[in-house]
Amino acid sequence: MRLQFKIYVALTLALLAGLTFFYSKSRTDALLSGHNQVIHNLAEIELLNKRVDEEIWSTAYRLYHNYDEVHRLIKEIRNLEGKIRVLDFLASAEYRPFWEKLDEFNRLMEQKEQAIIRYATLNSLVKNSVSHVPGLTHRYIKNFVNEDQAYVEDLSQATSLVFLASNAMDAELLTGFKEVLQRLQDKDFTDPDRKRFNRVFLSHARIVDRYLAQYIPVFTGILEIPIIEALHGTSELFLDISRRQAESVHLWSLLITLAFIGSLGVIVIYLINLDRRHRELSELHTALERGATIDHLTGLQNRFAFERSLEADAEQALIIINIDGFKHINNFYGHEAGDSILVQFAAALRSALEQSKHGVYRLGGDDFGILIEGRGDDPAVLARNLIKRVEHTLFLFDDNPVPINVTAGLSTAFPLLETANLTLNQIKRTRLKFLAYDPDVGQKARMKDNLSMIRILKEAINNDLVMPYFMPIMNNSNHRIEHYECLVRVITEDGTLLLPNDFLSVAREGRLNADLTRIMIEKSFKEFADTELEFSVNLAIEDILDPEVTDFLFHRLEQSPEIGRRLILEILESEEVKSYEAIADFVKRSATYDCRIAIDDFGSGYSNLRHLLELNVHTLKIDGSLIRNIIQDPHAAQAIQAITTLAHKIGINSIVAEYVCSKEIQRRVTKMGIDYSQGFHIGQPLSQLLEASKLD
Amino acid sequence: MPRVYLLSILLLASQLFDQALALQPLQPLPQEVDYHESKAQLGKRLFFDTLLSRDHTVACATCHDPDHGGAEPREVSIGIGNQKGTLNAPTVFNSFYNFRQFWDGRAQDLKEQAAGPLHNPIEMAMTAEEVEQRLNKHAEYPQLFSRVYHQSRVRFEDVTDAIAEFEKALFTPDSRFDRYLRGEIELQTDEKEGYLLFRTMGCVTCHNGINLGGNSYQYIGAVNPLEKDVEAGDLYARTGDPFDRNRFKVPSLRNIELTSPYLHDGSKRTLGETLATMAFHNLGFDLTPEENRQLTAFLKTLTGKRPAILESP
Repeated sequence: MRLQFKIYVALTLALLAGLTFFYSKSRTDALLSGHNQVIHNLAEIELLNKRVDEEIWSTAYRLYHNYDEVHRLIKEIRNLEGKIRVLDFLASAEYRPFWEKLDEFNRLMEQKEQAIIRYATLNSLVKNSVSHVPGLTHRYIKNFVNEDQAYVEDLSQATSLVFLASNAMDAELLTGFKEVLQRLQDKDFTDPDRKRFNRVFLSHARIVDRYLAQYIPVFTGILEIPIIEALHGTSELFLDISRRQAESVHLWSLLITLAFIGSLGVIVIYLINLDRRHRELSELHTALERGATIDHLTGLQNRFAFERSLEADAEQALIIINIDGFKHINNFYGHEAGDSILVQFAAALRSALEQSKHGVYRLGGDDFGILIEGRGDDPAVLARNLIKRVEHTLFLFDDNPVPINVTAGLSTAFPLLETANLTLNQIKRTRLKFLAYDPDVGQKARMKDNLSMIRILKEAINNDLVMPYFMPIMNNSNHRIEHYECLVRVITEDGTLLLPNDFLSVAREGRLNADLTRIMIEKSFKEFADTELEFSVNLAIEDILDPEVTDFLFHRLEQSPEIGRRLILEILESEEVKSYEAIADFVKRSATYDCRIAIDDFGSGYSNLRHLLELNVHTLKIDGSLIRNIIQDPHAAQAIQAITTLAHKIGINSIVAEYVCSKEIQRRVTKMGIDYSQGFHIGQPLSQLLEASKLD
Repeated sequence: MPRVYLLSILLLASQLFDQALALQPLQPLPQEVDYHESKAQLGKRLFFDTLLSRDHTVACATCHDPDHGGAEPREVSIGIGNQKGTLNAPTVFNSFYNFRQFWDGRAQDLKEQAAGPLHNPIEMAMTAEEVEQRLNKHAEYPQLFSRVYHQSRVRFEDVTDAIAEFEKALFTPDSRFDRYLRGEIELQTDEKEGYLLFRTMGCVTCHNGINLGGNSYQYIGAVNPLEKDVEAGDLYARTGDPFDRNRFKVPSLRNIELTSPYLHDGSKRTLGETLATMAFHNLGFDLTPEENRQLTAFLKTLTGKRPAILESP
């Protein structure tokens, strides 16, 4: 909020400064260009006015001259004046006195033009006669003989007076001119030529007499019109007003500068604040980071710090060291002791790695990690040394020694933590102290990845890829295949055949078991519907407890009433029986359809004899792990013999030996009185039923 | 002694003449003139259109006849309803170069001049509004005007503007005299003598500049007054100043061969008569027949080419 406010203030000031700058600049430019034009035009007018005066002088000097030029110059002056008058900026009130001056100039110019026009008339008139007077005198002397001396003298005097006065531009020099003219006027010529001459001479002389006195003041009057003064006055006034205008412009630029400095100041203050805040924040950040990355108990870096130290491309190795039975230490000595041990353990690790740059982390609980950077140390050697070192360290609590054993897993494969943990878990199942991660194990583990298996199973269920395979079971007394066990198989999309070991535990976790069982029931029933053969279907305890499965089963049994007597329901012995009543109930219900019960994998778990009796078990299937060892393991053979004898004694007359994989085993189980055999020696599980056949 | 005195005066005077003769106060017309072509063409149409007079009888060209050197062929101009005017309309050719317009110089320029006869009750007798009305109702003019002046309607000021622009184009370049001034040709003996007389006798003191006149007001009868004062058309009629009695704008001498009759009242039919009149009243001399012939020969060198715009369609 405060930041935004400051930014707005700085922006507003900057905007203000910018606007003021452009306003003042445009005003200055306009003023400057207008100012220049006024000054230039006034100067030009002054120059032209001088040329007008020169033209007037020229016309006065010459007998005849071109009047065009003077009018052209006046027109140009008016044109320049007109250009000043249309300038916009002069419309403001400050320039009113300037307009008065300009009007004054205009009036004078008008006066001058009128005087010039009058002058042009007088000039032509006077110049014409002035030029004719001497010429006429010359003509008289040339043309007329017996000249009258007095007349010639009068002509000559008149000529010289005209010449003097006109060239001196002084009408007063015409003293005595009127008298001369009177004498000429009075002359009475009889010769008509002389009479005419006298008349012509007189008329020209009279024009000089009459107009020279008018001509001279008009001429000097033109030159005396104070045009220059008016122009100078106009210029000075204009400069004066302009200076005042410039001062206001100057004020504007001062404002701009102040606004600019102001906005800079605001920005600087803001930057200083920002910097201070930034420093505070970065200190806080450091503190928080330390808090977030350090394990409070041991002072080691924690898991979060570890994850931040991982680099994708670097060569790193991770050793995870775990204290064996730490839970036991906690339980036995108390949590205080546990914590103390962890602190001492961390110190031991730290001192062991003092000389190296490897990071030591508490990854959680009693898991400690050593992140090895680079190839300097052999991680396996380092791990073994560490194990030795900590196991030789004396850990004390309340001065009592607490023995510590550790296990370590090493991994260099990505992702480090997961693979090292996997390795550690592998070790826990062994008695080893140290194991390095084997990438192959990891790959298989990934293959068995539960999620992908669940996906495969779901696809198989949806796409009818769950198949029953039929394992023949032979009657050992007549060597006939009287019976088949239906085994579940899943075909993956790429055609691989999956065995129950691959997927059953996942199916149970993913609650797909019921679906598999239902499919097996459905398909097996179909397969055996049109035969007289007996067959068995495997049921897990979960299946029996699942009403959906049992209801389905009994529903199918009701649909095909004759099949129940040929069906044997195999219940896995190793399953933990949580609700015996429910099983008993199921067995009773199945008995109403003439179904028989078999206990599968008998001898591998902990079924008790009472259950065998109570459940009215028809068949016992002896676990493959016993049968497999029947030849070389006398204990196994004795156990099989005992089970068989006992079962027969309690009325179970259908004993099946599983896993019969050789002739020897078959001979042995037959000898022991086992009623039925199944296994690879008898026949592999196949997707179709065999023709009923006898074996040797 | 007086003779020596006189001679020295004459010597000085002739020196003055020599100096003056060396300076030529006459200028040739330009051979090209910058004018607005479409305005001038519109002005040309208006110039010849009788629509601009009250009874549709008179056009500008009626009194400023392009086939008569741009001037009035009759003694005095005749307006609507055959009303007789008081003056002989001066030539419109080269009038752009006159410092004022009309005999009494009451118009500052051609645009102002064009309005004069339009409003004059005995010439065309139209108000500005009537002119606008007629042109705006016309089948073609509104479109022609809007094309040139970009206005929604015809305005009187554009009418006079167009006519003035056309008149600006009425210049007559390349007269023999102009070509002589430019050094392109030699004048014949009579013409040359006439030109010399034109200057020595003093014609040039008034008839100077580009138009040989048209740049000052002068008296008719300056030396030997007319038998009777001028009754109308002089500056006095306009200003009432006694100084202005018999004072007129000096007419141009260009194309004078074509513009008979002469003088403000059209009272002289031939150049010879006119020269004799002007020489007597304004210079105080009687011309000898030879002088008259030579001056006439000179005046005839002032005839220029017919304005090109008149030939264009």
